[in-house]
Amino acid sequence: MPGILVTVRSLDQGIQSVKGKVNPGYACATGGIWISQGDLAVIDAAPGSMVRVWSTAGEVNVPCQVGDLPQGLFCMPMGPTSNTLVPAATEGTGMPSFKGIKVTVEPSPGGEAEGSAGN
Amino acid sequence: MPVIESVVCTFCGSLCDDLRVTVEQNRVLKVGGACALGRQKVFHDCEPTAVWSVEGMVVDMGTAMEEAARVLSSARFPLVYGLSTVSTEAQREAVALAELLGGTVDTTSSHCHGPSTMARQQAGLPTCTLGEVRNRADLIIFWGCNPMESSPRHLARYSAMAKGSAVTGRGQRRVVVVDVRPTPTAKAADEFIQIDAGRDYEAFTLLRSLIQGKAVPEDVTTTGSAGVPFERWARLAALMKGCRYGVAFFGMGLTMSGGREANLELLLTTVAELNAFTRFYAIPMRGHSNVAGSENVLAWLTGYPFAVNFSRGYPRYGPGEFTVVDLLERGDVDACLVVGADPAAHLPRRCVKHLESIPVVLVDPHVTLTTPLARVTIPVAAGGVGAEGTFYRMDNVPLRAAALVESRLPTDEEVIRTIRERITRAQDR
Repeated sequence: MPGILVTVRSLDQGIQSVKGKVNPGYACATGGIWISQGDLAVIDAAPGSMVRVWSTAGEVNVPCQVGDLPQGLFCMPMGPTSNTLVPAATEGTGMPSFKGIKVTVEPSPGGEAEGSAGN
Repeated sequence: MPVIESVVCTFCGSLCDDLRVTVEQNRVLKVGGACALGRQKVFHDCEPTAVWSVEGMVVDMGTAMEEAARVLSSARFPLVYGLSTVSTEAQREAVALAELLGGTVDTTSSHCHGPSTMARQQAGLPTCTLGEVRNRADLIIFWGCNPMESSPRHLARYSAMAKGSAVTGRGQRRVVVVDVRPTPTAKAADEFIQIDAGRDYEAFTLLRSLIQGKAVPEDVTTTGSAGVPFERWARLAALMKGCRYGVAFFGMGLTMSGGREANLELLLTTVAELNAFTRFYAIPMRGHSNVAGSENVLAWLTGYPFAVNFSRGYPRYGPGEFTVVDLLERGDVDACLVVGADPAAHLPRRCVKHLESIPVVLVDPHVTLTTPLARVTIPVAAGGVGAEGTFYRMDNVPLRAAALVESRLPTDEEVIRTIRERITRAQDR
């Protein structure tokens, strides 16, 4: 299903980043996506299952969790995995769209987690 | 055991300066008063993990410095980048190096609060210190920011829950959060306005009209704006006009979404106009410990806050042209000095791919995701733990961070100065 992706800070992401970004905890803390309960039902995915997310910039396979979000809005922690989906265009400002990225999400049976910057 | 009082935490832009750190035999044993992020950072920074290396081989300090100087001085379009977690002293050296190279200096600010700084250049920044917020603010708005997770002590120490002199506690403050999702900060607020993603400009336009008492089209009063009923905006406008001392903290929910600097220009204009009715200020919610310092230092030395190019022998400012994301996306840069930043973790993948294709010199206390793609790695003592230095809080108040332990490593400032001196000597030969 199509939707809007917003990359965000999370406490776990912050803590793992100061423990060391090369530790597996950082990849884990930044390698997932939050989707509303309603949207999980629409795409027929269970919490914890893998989903494929893609934008014009790239695609990732990540585990999904239930998030307290409006339908059509997805969140991922800022980090190398979500940055695969961020287009580099800045519209002359220097700032790429880390928020408001048009993405599509679908279940990814058998897909493997990125765990890092991936492709 | 010896306890160092009033220690400045150099994790985030709050720069909490009331930590109590127990140190014995040059080892930190206990960190008191910090949030989970600050506490972890102090322990992590006590043990730098980076090593002197060239192309993955461990080398001595002199060899790494010599290779760094060679890489940077032989580049046609070098970029000096990062600088938001290092001292102002190191930032000053980095600007001098970029000027010597005829290169570009840009900071993480350009993909953080760069758009709000651009807005500030157009609309000004009616602002105050965090001390004034603590003592006086009876209305606090967090718009597009989530300090409960990014700066966890902000609410207790400076804003919502702080005990000030004129405003003595949480009960005397009204806290409003505007965001696209119910964040932990939203859950701690009196009111949460859940706005549609990317429609902030529309909301500011309505708020500005309401504050100025202008007529609002009937379709807006019927259907609301930005996914929020009109009555909620009218109530917020009344709160803003009716408070005694209001402060709007704004974050990357505004700088990173559609509209970018236009969102902030309208917010800052609205805040300035509110001062016809009451006192109202705005403060950017800054993430890294000295990202505010980077803008100050660059502005002192070049006249511009970020995205500064020296290729013509004088400083030129170019957001969208000399900003790191644009330079790497276009493939302009042919060598990069990264100081206190981790672009492989924080830049769009396309930019990281270009970094992988050019020589990178990385100055950082730790092994990061950028380390594997660096030709030269240079370990340094971490500011505020192994090295002293000046850091600017998010309200642009400078604080002096002391070293807590004695480090065997040089500071960022010393490393950059040494590279610059080696290049100067080579040019003079």
